Amino acid sequence: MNSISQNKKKVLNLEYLFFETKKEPTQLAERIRGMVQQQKLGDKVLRFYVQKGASHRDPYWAFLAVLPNTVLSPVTLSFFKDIGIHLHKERLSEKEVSKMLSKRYLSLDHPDPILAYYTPPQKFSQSWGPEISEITPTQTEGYNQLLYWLSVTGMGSWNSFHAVCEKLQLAHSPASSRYILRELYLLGHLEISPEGSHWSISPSGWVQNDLEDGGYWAGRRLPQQGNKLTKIAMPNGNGPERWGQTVPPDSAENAGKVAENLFEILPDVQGWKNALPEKKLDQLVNYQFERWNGQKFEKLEHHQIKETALYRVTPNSRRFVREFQLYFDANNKRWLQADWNGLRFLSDWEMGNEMEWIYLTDKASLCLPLTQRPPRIYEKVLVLASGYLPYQQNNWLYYQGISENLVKKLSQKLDLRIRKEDRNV
Amino acid sequence: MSLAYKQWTDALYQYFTRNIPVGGEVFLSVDQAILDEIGEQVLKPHYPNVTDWQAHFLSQVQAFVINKNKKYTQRLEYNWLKSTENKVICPMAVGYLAAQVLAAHRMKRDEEVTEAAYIIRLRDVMGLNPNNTGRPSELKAETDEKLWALWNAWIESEGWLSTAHRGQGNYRYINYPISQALLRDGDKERLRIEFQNHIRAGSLRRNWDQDHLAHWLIRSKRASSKVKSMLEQPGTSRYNALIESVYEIYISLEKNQTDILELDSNIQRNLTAGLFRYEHLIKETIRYYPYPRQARRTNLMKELMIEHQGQVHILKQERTGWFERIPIPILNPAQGIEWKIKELTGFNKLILPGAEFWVLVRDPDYPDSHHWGTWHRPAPGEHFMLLCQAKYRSEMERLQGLKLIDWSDVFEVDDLQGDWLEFENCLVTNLDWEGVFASNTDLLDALMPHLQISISLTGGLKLPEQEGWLATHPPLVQVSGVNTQIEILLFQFLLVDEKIEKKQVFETKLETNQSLNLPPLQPGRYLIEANHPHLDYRARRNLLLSSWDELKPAPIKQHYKTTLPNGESIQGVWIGAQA
Repeated sequence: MNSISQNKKKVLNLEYLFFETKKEPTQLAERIRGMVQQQKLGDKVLRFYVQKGASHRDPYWAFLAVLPNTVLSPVTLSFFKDIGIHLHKERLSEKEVSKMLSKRYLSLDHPDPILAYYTPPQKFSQSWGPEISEITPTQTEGYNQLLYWLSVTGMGSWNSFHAVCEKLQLAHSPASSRYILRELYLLGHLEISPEGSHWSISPSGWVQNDLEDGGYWAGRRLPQQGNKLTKIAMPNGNGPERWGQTVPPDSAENAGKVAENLFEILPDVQGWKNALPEKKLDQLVNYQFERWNGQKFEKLEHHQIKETALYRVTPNSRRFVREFQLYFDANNKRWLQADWNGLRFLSDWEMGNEMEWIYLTDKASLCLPLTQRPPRIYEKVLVLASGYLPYQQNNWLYYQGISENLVKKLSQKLDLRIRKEDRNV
Repeated sequence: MSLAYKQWTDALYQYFTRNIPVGGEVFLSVDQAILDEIGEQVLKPHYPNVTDWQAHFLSQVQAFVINKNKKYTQRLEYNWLKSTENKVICPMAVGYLAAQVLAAHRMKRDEEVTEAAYIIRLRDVMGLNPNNTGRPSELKAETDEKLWALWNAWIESEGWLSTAHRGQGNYRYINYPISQALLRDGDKERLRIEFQNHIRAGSLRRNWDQDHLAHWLIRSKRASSKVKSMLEQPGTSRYNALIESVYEIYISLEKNQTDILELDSNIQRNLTAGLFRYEHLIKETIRYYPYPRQARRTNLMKELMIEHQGQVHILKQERTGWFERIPIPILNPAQGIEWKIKELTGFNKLILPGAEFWVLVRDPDYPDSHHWGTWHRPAPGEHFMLLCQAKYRSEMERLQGLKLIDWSDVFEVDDLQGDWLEFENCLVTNLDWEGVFASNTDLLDALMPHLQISISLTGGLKLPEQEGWLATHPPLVQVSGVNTQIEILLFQFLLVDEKIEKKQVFETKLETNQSLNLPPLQPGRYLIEANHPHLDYRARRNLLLSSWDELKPAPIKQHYKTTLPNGESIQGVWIGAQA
């Protein structure tokens, strides 16, 4: 697909004022629109675009399209100052702005009658991003409602999932919605399509705890089905309640000790790597590449792609804006696909970086650094052992209800050291 | 009360509400052809010897409404037709109201619509002495109005929009049935002849879609004055239903043996298809599929079997009003395609009319998806996508330069044959298109806003495949239209002791193009009404709010699984067999 027009700009040949902001763009557009109407600037200030920075922590870039040589009055300038906006002195041309704008913007059109605000839906991105490590704990009720909504809807696209997370005020960026999607996957509530573009709710099942008596509900669930079950909030409050009790309810079929059974059939890291699906990249010149150095991604040229490593790959296509992480297996010339944590884990493992986890024997809890999360299918085992998401504190994750037997096998399969500690001693 | 009257009432109600999506308008537009169709399809097993279905219907209505002493029976109001499970189906008066519409239909095309003319027809259908003039004492106008109000409230409480309304002056009472008679018998005949003549003369093409035909009717100044005047009042609620009725006549013109186009009545009708656009985010492809539309008011067809060049497809109903898309992408949307309908459904062909441009809106059931289709004509304030041949680009840029329309981007569509463009996220930015010159009037007509104001519901938590929103997360209300302050009324429907109550629960003023947060509301069925303070512009929108406890799981069309390294798969917590 080729973009062949940046409309209107050809007709009006506008100039652009611009500024950075961390403020919510819809509200900001509303205020600017009010000012334009109040100060009768409709014939000079014509459009308002907002471009989100690359990561969710980056600020927005905002652009105001004005007629050439428009001079802003002191009243207008003081308006921007009052709302904490610092306008850059220089102005940008059409060409410069079009380079900076991707698909997402708000439009403030003039003249009336219809004022157009729109944010085209987020383009799909496979990026899990290394910077999505934390999410603000919010009300458990919102997560419960999310799971009910997913249960009723059955299946849908990534866009629909993200939209609902936003509407329930659980997430404010695609990255945080991705995080929630992953958590629900770990809990056995839903499955994600191979490309990550769709989800479907999983069938209900009763899972027996690995370590203790009793169990919990996983998969599709509706409010009335939990009437007689014990509901406990997730650690950090960032997931739907765990519905558990000692005896399985009649309404859910018994799936057995899922964590134990699943772990038995998982291979070691090499086996996992060998089974990873491959992504075909046609011509490398069609993509931009960045290499993971253990801390962050670094840009590099096509001819530098020689060594086995984790890469971030962005197609040059302007229409389908997305990026993905791939692991380049240089020996076999294969680009491997997996979840972000899995790829990072693989990268550390291949580089021989030391990984040490801690098992708290008195609490039957496994602790691991936030940056050493295992591939998600292995993490699912850790979560399904108890039905609880890990508790996060000081960049460490604590998985509860983990048996010593599982820890021993985990250490072998993932090829890492797990140190035992007893804090009562 | 006779069983036959109940059967007629039930059949009429089902006929006129079938395939109408939630929020659609219901017209009780009974005429003789429809009575014959219902008689043959529904009532024949019960009354095998009946041949004159209109007479059969009217005799039942007469017996039900007027008692032996020739007195109007008062039992119509709040008398319900119920199912065997004692569930209310509709007001019992529907049969009688349908007879009133039949009387309105019988007025000839050139006959002036007056109360006297209508009353003559009404006396006739009700079997009263036609030599007397004036409204019969048995049929009180005030009571009739109450029955129409009951019908309207019932339709709205079921999630549709009512269309029968009071007239002014002498039309006060008679306007109710007249507003339901979309095309009178005379109008149909005249349209048929007009279409035949223009097709022969080459000024009307045979394969247009509904919107193209509507534009032609308005622009050509050739349509009957009534149809034209109705189509030119786009703010009126009858536009969509009327154009559907006109289109049915257009698409049912078939060549007979002597190569003369003629209307094959209701026997051989055709279905039409629109377009469904699917964007595959991973493969980075865009495909357009034919998307068959169900015919309004016809027998429920849960499946459609079609054939083209030896390939047979069985399409299930995808949603109210639409079948599943045909799974073969279109290569050139300018070229029409015809499929043969394989089963005895009363329909002959499925036709995808070729067109050089198509206007698509976002999937109304999945507004957050990437799906676009020809579900409806965009309302003011609604984004749409224009798929058109590249030659329309300069015209679009001209309209943009006039600040009538804007869009976010333009792309070439590589996956189609020929030079096609997609104008993404188009929006009409000015409602006043009066006096705009265009080198292509068809495109102008297709893009021109057809409503003065419209209500849009955005945000909130909507339930896909289920009607409505969750009461805890209702949508925002926005009225698009000319800059002014609009009066917003919110009504709630309650069925209490078998009486429908339409209760106003909220009232406010709202600037156009601003969003309104609704007050906290209980789960239930609501109607939002927006009225212009000075002009006769009105918009309505149904709103259903559900509680979390009422949710019903939708069937899952596709289950995803995780394939494990050993080849087995896991779905949630279920470790399955070999993937």
